[in-house]
Amino acid sequence: MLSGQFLKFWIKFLLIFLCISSSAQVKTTKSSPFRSNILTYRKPNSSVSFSGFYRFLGFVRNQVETFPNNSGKTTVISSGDNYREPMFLLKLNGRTRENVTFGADFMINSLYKGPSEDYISPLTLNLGLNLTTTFLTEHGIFKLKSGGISWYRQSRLTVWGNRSFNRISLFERRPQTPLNQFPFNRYSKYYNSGLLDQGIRYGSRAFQGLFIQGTKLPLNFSVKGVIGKSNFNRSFLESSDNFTGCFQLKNILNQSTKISYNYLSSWADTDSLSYDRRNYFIHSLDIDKKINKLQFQMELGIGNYTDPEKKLGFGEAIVLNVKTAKTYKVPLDIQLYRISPQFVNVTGNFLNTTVLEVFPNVAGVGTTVRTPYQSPMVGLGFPVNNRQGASINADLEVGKFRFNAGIGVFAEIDTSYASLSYIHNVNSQTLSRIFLFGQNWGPYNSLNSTYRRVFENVNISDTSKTGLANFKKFFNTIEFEAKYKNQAFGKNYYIFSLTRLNTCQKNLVLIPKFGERTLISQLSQEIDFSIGMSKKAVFILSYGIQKVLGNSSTDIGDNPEASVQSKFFENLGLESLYKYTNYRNQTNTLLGFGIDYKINDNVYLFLRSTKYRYFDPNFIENHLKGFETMLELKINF
Amino acid sequence: MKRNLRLLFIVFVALGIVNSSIAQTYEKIWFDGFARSYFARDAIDKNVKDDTLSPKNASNGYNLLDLNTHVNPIDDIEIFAQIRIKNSFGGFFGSGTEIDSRQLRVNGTINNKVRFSVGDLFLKQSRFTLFNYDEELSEFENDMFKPYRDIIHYENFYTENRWRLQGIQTNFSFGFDRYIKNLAFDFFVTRPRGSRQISIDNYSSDLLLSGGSMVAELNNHFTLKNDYINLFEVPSSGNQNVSVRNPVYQMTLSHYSENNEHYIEQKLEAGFSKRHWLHSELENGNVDSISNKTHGLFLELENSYFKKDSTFDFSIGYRYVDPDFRSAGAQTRRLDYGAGNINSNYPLYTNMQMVRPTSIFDLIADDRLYNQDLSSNLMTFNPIYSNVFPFGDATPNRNGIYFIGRYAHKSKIILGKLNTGFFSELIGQGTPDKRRFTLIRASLKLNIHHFLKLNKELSFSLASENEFTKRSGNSVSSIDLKSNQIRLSINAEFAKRFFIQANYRQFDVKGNEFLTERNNFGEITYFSLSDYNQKDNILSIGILNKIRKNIYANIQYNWWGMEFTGQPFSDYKYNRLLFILSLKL
Repeated sequence: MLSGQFLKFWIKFLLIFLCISSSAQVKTTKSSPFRSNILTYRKPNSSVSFSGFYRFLGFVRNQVETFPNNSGKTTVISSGDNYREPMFLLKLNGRTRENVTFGADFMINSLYKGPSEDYISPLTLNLGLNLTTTFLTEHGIFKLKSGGISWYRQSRLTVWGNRSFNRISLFERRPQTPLNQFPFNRYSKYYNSGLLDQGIRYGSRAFQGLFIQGTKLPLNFSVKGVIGKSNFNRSFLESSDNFTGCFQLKNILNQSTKISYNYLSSWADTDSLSYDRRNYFIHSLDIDKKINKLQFQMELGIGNYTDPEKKLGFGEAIVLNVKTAKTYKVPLDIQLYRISPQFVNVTGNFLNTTVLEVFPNVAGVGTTVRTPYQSPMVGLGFPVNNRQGASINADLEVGKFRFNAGIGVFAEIDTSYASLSYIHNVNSQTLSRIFLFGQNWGPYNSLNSTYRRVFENVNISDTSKTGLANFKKFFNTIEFEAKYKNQAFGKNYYIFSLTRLNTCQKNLVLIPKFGERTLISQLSQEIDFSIGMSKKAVFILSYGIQKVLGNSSTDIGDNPEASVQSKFFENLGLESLYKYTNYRNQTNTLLGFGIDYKINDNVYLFLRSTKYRYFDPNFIENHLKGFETMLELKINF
Repeated sequence: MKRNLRLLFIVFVALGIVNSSIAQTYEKIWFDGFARSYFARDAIDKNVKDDTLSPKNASNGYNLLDLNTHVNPIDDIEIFAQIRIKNSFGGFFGSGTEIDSRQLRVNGTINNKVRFSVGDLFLKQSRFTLFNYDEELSEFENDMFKPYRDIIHYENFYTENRWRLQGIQTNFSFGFDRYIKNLAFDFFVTRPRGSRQISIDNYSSDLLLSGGSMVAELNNHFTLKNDYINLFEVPSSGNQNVSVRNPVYQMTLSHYSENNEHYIEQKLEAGFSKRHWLHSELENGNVDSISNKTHGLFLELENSYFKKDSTFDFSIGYRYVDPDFRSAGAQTRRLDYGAGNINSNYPLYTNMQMVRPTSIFDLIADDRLYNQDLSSNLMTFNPIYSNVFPFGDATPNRNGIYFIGRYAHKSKIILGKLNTGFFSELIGQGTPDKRRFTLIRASLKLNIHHFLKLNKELSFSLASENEFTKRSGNSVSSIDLKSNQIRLSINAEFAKRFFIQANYRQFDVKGNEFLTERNNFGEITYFSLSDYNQKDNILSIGILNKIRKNIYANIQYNWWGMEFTGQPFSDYKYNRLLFILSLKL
């Protein structure tokens, strides 16, 4: 009853006012009449811009020879880069009027496998969100950054991405590989400077958390630091502690001298109730001094590692670099380092080989970040803990030839695992694509895939009672690169030759040697030939071969018949240059061609086709052979 | 998947219109929004010995960006989309990422006369029809816990005591040159809850909320306002054949007078509500019927005085709310203790793995305890935190007077606030005896820097909130419940825009109260006696950096816990480290 009366009242009321309103002026009053909804009109406050790229990667692999546990599927047709790289990256960059920047990078992938909803990939983020604000004070400029992944670098012993001497084959491409104004510029730049822009992430580590940076502080000081997580800080329970914090306090004493103190601490719960904890910390002093045409860089550090089972105590580390100016006829780069086994870190510019547990081993994520840890044989400029040594690198220019070469000798400080590992130089990406981020795979469970690489473990039979190797390992490395430029039929061409030799033995030798006394010898040769067909097109040929030989202290093969180490020398009848062996006798070969083609500004097409083979006659099941073809369309905007 | 496609569409449309480089230069589309970095690490206090089954510590964090995209295809129309991008702390290279649409709305003006909004609306009418009352114990909040409150309010769309609803709204007004000054109309229809499948063959009905207001500014001294609101289910949209109807009618007459120094307002608000459940499409051809029909009135008379230099104001009033007054839009609580919500942080504790009782720290820090859905029934409340007005001013079965005052020294050295109320029930619950309620809340802030003429802020605050509930009668039905919260806080600016903050908060409750249990039609079915004797406490210290307006970074450490005496709960103590970076873009 009440509601009926009320409604009648309303209707009458409205009718009366409608009549009145005919004589009244209808308007939106300036004095903000009542409205139940919130007033939402605002003025623009932030500027936003977009950039990014589209990258189609069509991929076909036809396996002629497979591992025995292959399912029978020998051909793969796929689109998209499987290494969690975006097909479509849309970077949002915003800035408020108050000078706060914010950004997010949307990542969209599509498998192009038909309209089924099962194959539609969700919209996600590549690096996540980042918020940055800068504020000026009378004491300096401070930057506060928080959010998703940022690339951070501090010092070689604390936070520094793996960065070596940039001796690589240019045949392989990565999503980060930038587009040049003309396709040929990529090769001419490599010929001229040897350094290629590998993107912002090169030489830095992925961190997320809270970043603070202070510059132009009093007395020429600056400070930067982060507390958060690196991609190694993966908790097995999402809420468990697993963090890394570090900072650097730097002072520029004068134009030629810089000094900085660095600190890093990493800690993680190792049980679900947070009673047990793994922890390591590092203090280091970094000095950069220029005397005339010599530049000295030295970092001296001390670290300590503890976990519920190991208390390694303090360990020292020193990295010394001496570089001469590029103006010398033969510029030199000398590096000495010693990193003790107690000096543990996974975010520095060295590999951790002493504590396996610091690598996350969480299903689905842990496998992606476990680097070689069993006495890895690595290239120059790639320090490893529990190791000391020296290397010397030199450049030389003779006519149209450009050479750069390096030699290094390294030794373990203490005995370690009864095993070795080596990173494949040839077919490394190809093998890693067969089983992405797999651990201990292959017919002999010796292959391990990381990001665009594969390393292989080798067991050593000469062990002590504790199960460790019965000796200290000594490593030798030689790298030699030759570059040549010329013209043929009016077309510029380049030839790049890269030779790498890594050996490991029980004794110290200055020059690497093959033979029974060498545990593992790894020799690789890669040759790239590129010719500019036109301003817009480059044709590339690539050949690579890698030979890995093991001695009797390493794994013995399952083929009862010994195989010849070099068929080439056998065919030539040079008996002194080859032997028969039952141990590792591995050959990796790659033959490929490719085309780089510029369709338009910021629109490029790349074709790569390779024939690969991974073969060891002594390990019968280690035989892979096939073809890979990739078509990449990349559009920057 | 469809959601993702929609997001993709939005992104592509945005990108397409934006013309790839500088979006802002194109005036038809512009952006703003909100961003936050959040990290919290909780730990069991080292002194706690009887909990070896819970993790000693736990951490979580995230970064989020709510990107507001405003598209103005024509001058008077705006399309608004809020896209939430969130990545959890510890998720790398695409893992732990969420992208959602959070709001979508169109609003504009037709012929420069009629305003309209479609989509996500934030609606408010009057305190007895549609009003989202503040959560308990939040009246005198200080800067220390502002980051927490900001999150609770933002994540639950609590803006200016409005409810976030989805529907359509319009308003327009008339200006007159005689008899009446202005006449404004406002109407809305929203759907607080859509029909959904509740079992294989059963679907719930759509729940709609519609309303209208008419505000007549008769002259410079009188305003007349009528509000109507109705929460109702559409039976045919489901197959549950029972649907609620809850219309509320209100009329407000306000009188204003002022001179150069003073402003005085008298306000009379009155209205009534009805609620019943309609039983329709019954078996065997039975005609529709209604059940659980209730009517309720309310009345409030308030006199307010404001000194125009803002140094003093007060309101004194009388309020009467019938026991059966029901208004879903005004009586829905932000905190629902009956929804089965458990604390996000250490939900279980002790080696018995008991459910941990909610503390005042949880109320401050846990945004997931809060509610955004309108309820047609009175929701369960916890009498220890709000027993006088658990449903705000619209709390039924209350009759009494109140006084609210504020004083500020001319040089802002002292700022004081007082909020008191003396109420009683209109009818007893389960007994002829009625509860009597007393509410006393007061705060005092001393701006020492004004007194000492310092350039940087140094202030001290003290606040106390007290509730007393008494019911005489025999030993079984008598009630005596006292609760008190006291807060002390210090703010000291040690560098430009950098503040050291310290805060201590203690909440004590002692006594007994009967908790009511209600059925689906809101009828009380059972009273259960609860005895209370417990203490909550929070000690916090932190640093706040007010980087710029609407941008702050805060790091704080909280020690918090609860102690029980003579109750079947164990004491607990926890610590928390919190970091928040909050940016309004």
